[in-house]
Amino acid sequence: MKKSNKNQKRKKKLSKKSKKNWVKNTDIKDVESFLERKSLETIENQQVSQLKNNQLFVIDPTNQSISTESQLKPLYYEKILNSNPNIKPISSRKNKNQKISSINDKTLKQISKLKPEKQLVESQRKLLEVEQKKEKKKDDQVLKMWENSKNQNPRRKNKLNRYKRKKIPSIILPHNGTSINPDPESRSELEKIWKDYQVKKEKEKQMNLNFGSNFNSKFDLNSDSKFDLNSDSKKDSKTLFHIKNNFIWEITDISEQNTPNQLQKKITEKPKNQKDILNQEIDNLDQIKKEIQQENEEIKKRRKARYQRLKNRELYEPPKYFTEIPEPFLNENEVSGRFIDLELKRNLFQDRFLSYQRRSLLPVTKKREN
Amino acid sequence: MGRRKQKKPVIESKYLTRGQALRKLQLSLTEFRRLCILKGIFPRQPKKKGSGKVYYSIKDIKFLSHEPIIKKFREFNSFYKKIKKAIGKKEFQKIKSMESNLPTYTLHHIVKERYPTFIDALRDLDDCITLISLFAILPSSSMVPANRTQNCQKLYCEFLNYIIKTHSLRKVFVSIKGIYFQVEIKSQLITWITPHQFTQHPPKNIDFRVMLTFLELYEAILKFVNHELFYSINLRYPPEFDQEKLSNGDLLGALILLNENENENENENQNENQIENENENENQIENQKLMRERIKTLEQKLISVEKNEAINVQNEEKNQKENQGLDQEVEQNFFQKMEEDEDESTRKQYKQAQKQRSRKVIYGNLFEGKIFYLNREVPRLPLEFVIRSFGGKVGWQGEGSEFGENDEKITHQIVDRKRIDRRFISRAYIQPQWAFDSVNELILLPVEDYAPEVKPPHHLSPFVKDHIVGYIPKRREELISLKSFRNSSKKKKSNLKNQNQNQNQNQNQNQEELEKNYAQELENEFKGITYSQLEEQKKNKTNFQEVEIEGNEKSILSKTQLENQIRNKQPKKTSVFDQNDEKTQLAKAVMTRKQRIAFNKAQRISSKKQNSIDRLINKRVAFEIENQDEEDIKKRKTKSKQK
Repeated sequence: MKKSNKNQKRKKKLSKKSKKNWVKNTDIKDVESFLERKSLETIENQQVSQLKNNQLFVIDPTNQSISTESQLKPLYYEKILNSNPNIKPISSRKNKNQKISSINDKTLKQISKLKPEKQLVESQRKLLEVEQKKEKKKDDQVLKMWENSKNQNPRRKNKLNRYKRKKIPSIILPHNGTSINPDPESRSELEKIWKDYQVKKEKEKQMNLNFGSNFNSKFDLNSDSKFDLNSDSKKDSKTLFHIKNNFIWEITDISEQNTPNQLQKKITEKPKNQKDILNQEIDNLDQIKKEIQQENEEIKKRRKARYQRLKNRELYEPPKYFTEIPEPFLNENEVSGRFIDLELKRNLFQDRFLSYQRRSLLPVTKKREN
Repeated sequence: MGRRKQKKPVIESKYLTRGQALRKLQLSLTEFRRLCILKGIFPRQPKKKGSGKVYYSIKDIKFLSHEPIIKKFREFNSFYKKIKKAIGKKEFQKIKSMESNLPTYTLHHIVKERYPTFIDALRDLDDCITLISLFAILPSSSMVPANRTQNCQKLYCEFLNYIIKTHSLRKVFVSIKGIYFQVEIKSQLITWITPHQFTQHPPKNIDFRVMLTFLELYEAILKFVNHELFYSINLRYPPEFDQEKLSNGDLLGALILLNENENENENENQNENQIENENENENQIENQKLMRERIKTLEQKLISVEKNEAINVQNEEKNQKENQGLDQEVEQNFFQKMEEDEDESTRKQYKQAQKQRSRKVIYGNLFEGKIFYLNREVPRLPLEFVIRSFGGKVGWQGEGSEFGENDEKITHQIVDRKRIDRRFISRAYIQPQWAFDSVNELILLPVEDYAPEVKPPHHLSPFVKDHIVGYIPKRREELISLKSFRNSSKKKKSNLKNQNQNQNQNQNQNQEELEKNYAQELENEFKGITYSQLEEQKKNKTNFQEVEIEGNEKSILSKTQLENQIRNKQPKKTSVFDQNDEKTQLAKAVMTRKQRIAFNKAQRISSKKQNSIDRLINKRVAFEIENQDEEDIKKRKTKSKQK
């Protein structure tokens, strides 16, 4: 008996404690069949044994198997689309012609790899011709910019006036004196214009130098005495100059300059006895002298360096506006009327650059030697 | 309570500095400069000037921010970073494959934006063509690659060939800087400078990157303009270049101009011929059979057809004669109607068409029938351009010319040397200035003044209007007299033809003139004027010019007489305001302050002008007195030798 018990499969002990396990592990078939029978009886008002076969069973002549497992699952997007037929699918390509061009590109690559000795097939030849015509048409279409300009409406007024035509012409018409064989009157006229231009420049330089010379007369670089603050001659020339933002400001003597702290000290300090004051001054004279000398030497150095820089540089820098330069001309000895003897006076690249600055197309940043 | 917001100054509200603009657009300085040049946006000068900085308006920079080229600049930067990485890793194959994917951009939309019509582009062609002609002559360097110069050469040649074909060149002037040309296209005047054909070395002071960006824009503009111009003449664009001529240096002649429809017809005919050859063999056999059968049946029909053809030919000849007369009548009636038409628009169109025809006749036939030969030392390109645009033919010393130096058909040889070893009697030897002067005056000037041994006369600029300046130089007076002489000689020829028809009219006119002279003589007798006095008055009326043309001996004049002669020939300005008049003084009293300032300014300018004119006249008098003294000395020497 024990052997038969051993041969029997050991049954797993199934738990039925939770609802989940109970639903999983219990057999409800008996109950379901009973309930079906009962529902039929109530519908037919007869017992199941008394029912006929036609009432109990239906034969389906079609071969469709309605098993859920064998049925293929519909795709998710089909569900969505079937539910809303108004949504149309998006095509994979925008233009159908792209497909054709892609094909022709491949054939063109193949054709390009072919050697010219090989004869092209008619289909390849036709494709080549078609492509060449298309390229020509494309080029023509691109270059035809102003084809329909007549039919367009007249140009609206550009409110911003961005592309307003400049009144200054790009090319200034030439003077009679600039020719390779000029008449003497016009050539002399240009000479006079050049002289006036050079005189103006020299005057400007002299203005700067005179201003600089005023410095030098008072603060001569060569004479060291002028830089001594304690000298007697300096008492008259108490004013100093300080340059800031291209303007020149007057500054009082440094020795007399009283900072606010110094003023407070003077006010707060109590007057001492005259004896104490004199004693202190006598003791500190040497030190004071040394300090004053050191300060003067430093000041001298700084001023020398500053004025040397100012001498080389123009004090009054010209404003950043365009200055017109007169046109070139030939001297009397150079006038021959032949191309062989011609000497170029001005480079045309410089001329173009000047014209851009004249029309304010390019900013005038630095003074360029023309 | 909230704080009242402080109003920003005008500069900050309307203008941005360059640094602020760069930060806003997130571009580097070079890219920003390039963008501004391409779009045509330039710095502004505010009224209340701040520190010495460069200002741009805010609206312009907002307009720039929407430009699609900015994306391309950023793609460039990323592309070059990738290349640098690959160079560092030494992946050269990768670099080769990446070169094909270089990002490119076009300027079509910018050109369309800046020049919406064709005439707007024509107005700004001056600067475009000067720059392109400059770069066409530059040698290749690290800054300017060879491709750019070749492209500039091609574009320039295309433009010049259009002008040659349409005969639209008007003025030429040779100056120290270069050669000025003026052209008329669609009633728009375009002037530009070409440099002399010397090697141009670019200067170091100039930023070439700026010039290259301008060049980029102008190349695109010229390309579109050339296409439009060629399309208007029914020529194919882009044209082809003959490589052999290009290698020889012949730029103008290397262009092959073709009509638009020529090549298409050739291809169609080739295809048709191929198809026909394939099918001919099959159809020939069938046709032969059919022909044999027809011939047997068509003998009678052929006889009748011949008779009808003879009748038709006679009728056609009659109709042709009738139609010719009809055509002429129709044309005459048409043009008469156009003249008599009350509508001004049709009359204007007719006049414009007449003008265009007359211009082509004038500007295209000046050098017609003349054959020029250029020596080696002469600049070939400008002379070839000038001569061919006025209908002449050109040959030169070197490869590629149609004819050589020994050709007998040559009428003029242009030489720039002082001495010539070998001369041909059938041709005239002239300096290159002759061509330019005759083009400006539209007449063939005398050749003796421009001989190679002689110093040529002064070369005046045709752009200067003497009647506005107020001073007419001596050379201009001579040219005016030449023109009037030529025109009078032409009128005489035309009068000779009509002389026979107008004989009766002349007889009547002569009788009337005799009667007038008789009446005038009677008046002079009553006044007491003698015959000798009349003759002196007539001599004084004759101009200084006629004395030069008629006689070789010049009359020696004093300084004051010279001055008076010169002043009489200068243009006289009728000044509305004379200071001494009472009207001007009354008008001055009534003027406002602004009007008075403007009036004084105008008077100052006019006085300056008059002073300059007086200065020029005095100089001219001094020069002529020197010349008179020299001639006196020469005459005395010749007389002493004769004795």
